[in-house]
Amino acid sequence: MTLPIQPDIETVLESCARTVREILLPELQSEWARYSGDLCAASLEYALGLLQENRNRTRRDQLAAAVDGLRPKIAEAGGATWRETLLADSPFVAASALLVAAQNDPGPLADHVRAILHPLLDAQLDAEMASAMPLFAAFARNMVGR
Amino acid sequence: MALEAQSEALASYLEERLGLPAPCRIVEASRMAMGQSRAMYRLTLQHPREPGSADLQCEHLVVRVEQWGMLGSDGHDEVRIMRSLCAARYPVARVLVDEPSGALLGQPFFVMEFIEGTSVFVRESLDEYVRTLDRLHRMDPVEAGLDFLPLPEGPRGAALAQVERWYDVYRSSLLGEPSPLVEEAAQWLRNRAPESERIGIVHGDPGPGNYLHREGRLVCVTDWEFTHLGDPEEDWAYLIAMRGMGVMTEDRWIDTLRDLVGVHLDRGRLRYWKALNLFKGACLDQTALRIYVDRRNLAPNLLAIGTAVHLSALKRLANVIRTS
Repeated sequence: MTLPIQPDIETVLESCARTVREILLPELQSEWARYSGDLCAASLEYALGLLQENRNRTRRDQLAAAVDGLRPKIAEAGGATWRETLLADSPFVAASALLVAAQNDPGPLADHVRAILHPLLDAQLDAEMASAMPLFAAFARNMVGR
Repeated sequence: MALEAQSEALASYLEERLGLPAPCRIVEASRMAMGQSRAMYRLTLQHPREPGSADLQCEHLVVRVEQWGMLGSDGHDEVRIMRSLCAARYPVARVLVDEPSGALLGQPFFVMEFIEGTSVFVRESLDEYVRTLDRLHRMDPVEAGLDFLPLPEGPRGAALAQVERWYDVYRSSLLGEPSPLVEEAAQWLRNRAPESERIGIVHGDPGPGNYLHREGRLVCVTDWEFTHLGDPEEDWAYLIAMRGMGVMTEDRWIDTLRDLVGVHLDRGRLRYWKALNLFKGACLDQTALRIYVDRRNLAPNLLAIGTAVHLSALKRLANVIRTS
């Protein structure tokens, strides 16, 4: 007889996170054990977020679209250094090269590149920070000195 | 790594290296939550007062174990720096044993004296700390025995050497793809590297949490793994923008440093060094994620540093460089 329905991963992870936080942590005495326990509960919450969405794929697709959107303007207004930035297959490499080129060759094209890439990269950064907030909070709680 | 598993071997090793009467026994070993680049243990080592004596005494020690290159540093220079500064009568814990091979604990480690004190910040300890940091900056590196550290080359060398040092650390720990915001920041820092007015000994991680005080007096400056020869403004910016950020506002910090030690900070240069320190943080945090993902060390603090702490530094870095 097999189980007709298994519990889902999210429920198991959430159960572990709660157990660590509410039952195990209050019992721990040593400084390092409390710190590790706090971070362990936060890691489980972070892992739950990873299960809910393939963020890597989403970020890559968004960035690839933004880089593609820049191609016509760079082909039209940019010199050889600018055009070389778009040869990379990876949108992360291409976006990196574009932002470096914008630092080295200030002007309207550099401003345009930043105007397109910065809002997207900032939004991705903010979303990642929100996902990692339980880890940040646990880390900060233990950085007060001893 | 749990130190308990190697307790007997470590006790025998310390017995021999410290020349203590046998038998030595570790009666207490607790991991300290402070410090991320090294695993730190408080150790109580018990041994006979004299050979053959039943009368026992204890040594209180701190063991500092490397973590697979965590945060882009190793203990080799750290030990030399601590020993040199100790000899120059700077307030540093005495290093008693250096074990660089990794044969005993799986990672290199060193043992230092335990100094009674606390790193919990109190305002009363700050003035003496600032004066002590300023004293470090004004020490002659040659007289202090630190002339083995590389001297930055050229007027912009102090800044550029740090940019490239941390950029290399970042690139060597990269997981697949580069971060466009880190790459942009590296180029911003290269293009705007300021000329240094003087070169001195830079602590590299100064501020509350990295010194011990007792009864209002500073007893010891800690955490020497990032120390190098460079521009002292790098340290002041770190103090203001990182460890001392919650102590007072930037304006008050600038006034305090001027009044206490006569350091006049230019806001444009301060902004550069703040950006460099945030860049350094973002880059060295990447090493934690690499070690975690490679499963060399699965401690959850590495996940926190490699994700949340890295992202936080990157966010602040982006804000600083865009306010030009």
